[in-house]
Amino acid sequence: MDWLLRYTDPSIDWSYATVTLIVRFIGVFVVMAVVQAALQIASAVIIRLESRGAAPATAPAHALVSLDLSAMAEHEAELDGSAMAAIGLALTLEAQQQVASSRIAGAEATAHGPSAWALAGRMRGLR
Amino acid sequence: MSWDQVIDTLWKILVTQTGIVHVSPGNVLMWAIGLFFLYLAVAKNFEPLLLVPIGFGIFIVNFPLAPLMGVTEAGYPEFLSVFYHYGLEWEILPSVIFLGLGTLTDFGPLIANPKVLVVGAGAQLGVFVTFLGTLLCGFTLKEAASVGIIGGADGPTTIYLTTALAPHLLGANAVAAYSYMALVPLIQPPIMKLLTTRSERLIVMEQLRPVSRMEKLIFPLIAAGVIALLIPAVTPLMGMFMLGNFMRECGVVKRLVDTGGGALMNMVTIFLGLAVGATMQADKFLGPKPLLILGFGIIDFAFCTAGGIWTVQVLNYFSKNKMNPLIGSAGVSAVPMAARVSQVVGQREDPANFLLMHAMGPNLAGVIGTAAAAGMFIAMFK
Repeated sequence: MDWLLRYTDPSIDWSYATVTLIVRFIGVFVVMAVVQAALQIASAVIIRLESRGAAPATAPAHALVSLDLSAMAEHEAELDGSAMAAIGLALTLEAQQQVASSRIAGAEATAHGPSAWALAGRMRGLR
Repeated sequence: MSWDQVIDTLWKILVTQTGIVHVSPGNVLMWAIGLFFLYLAVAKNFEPLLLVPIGFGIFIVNFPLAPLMGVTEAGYPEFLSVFYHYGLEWEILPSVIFLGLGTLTDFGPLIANPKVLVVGAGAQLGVFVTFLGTLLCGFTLKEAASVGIIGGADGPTTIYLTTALAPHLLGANAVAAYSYMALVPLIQPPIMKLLTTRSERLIVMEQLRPVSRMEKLIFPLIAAGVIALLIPAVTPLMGMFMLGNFMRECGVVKRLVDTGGGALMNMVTIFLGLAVGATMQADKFLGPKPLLILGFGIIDFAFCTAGGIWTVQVLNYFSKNKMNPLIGSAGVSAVPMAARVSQVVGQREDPANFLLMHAMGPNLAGVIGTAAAAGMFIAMFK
């Protein structure tokens, strides 16, 4: 080590430099941990407040405009097996597409529940 | 007038009014360096927004007698020294750039997965390792701190810290930081592969939760408040960064957001690049230290990349929801290049694994982490 220290600035207090370096490195973790804790607390409070204030989850309003749920129930009983299978397949494919697109899009996960497309498809199948 | 007098007059003009006879080998070398940076920017597309003004600044400032970085006979600063003095010495330009960056940043991935903030801290390992390494090579404490921050891969923060602690190294540090940032896709992948197993690289992370507008609005206030309290030395940088982000998220000042992230940032980038390039005059720049800085820069980047990966691996020991360690390398800031590298390396193992948004979290945490490390150094030495 001595040969290396020959090239160093003689005014450097190595014990001070090393100790303060370790303290500062830990300090960066502490700062980030405090930001993390503050962020998690704020997020928890906001999510709680928003879930309290939000209305019960419903399908998109524009998809429900033309839906008559009682009529749907009546029609559902009249469907044969092949029509039911086709509708089921369509819904599965659409759900898979949603998952794939949300993985590509990343953070912004799509809202769960039937989409306008799915509801409109169901209506067409039931008519 | 005799021929002798004509020749004498011409010689006097040549000596006193042109730079031809004053050109030194150092000037020629600096022209070559400036032209090399222009080549990298134009032909190789390496950080062209910064390297074009920096390269041209290096080129133009190394012409002898050019009134650019000195003082006029009347005592006023010359053209480029005005930008340097008011822009860099007064620490204005890096902070204004951070304002623009804030308007362009979406903190959603970081808010959705706040534990990656610690990854941003771990990725500062190289900053501290390089600090020790440069001390051993004869740098002073302040110089070592300013060289160490290069590994944070954050140009404005590097410039901010270097201006505060070792302004004579500004050119070398800024050029090293921006050059290595452009080389992140070449530097990081081998280190990422070396430090992770195939099974780790195949980890598919959980979908990030949606983040509400209110959370995005509160985050800049929290981050600015905490950092201003704990590390006041970097409040100008982080304050402007978070102001820009708050303007973006509040949605009521679209014109300011457009200006901050567009015209203003572009103007400031030109002046910042020119002023940095102008500090690289042959008589001040040429010496062993710039070469050492370039050498330490790559070691710095390597350790910062490793630090991020190791932090994720340590976190995975204590967590049920495993993180892919490849996202740790994005903790070196270099937004969004480092996150893209995580995505590319991850997809080489599993094309169906999309790590980009997961890597954006540590990437943004790295910006805050680098600023925190810079603040620690400023508080320590200024």
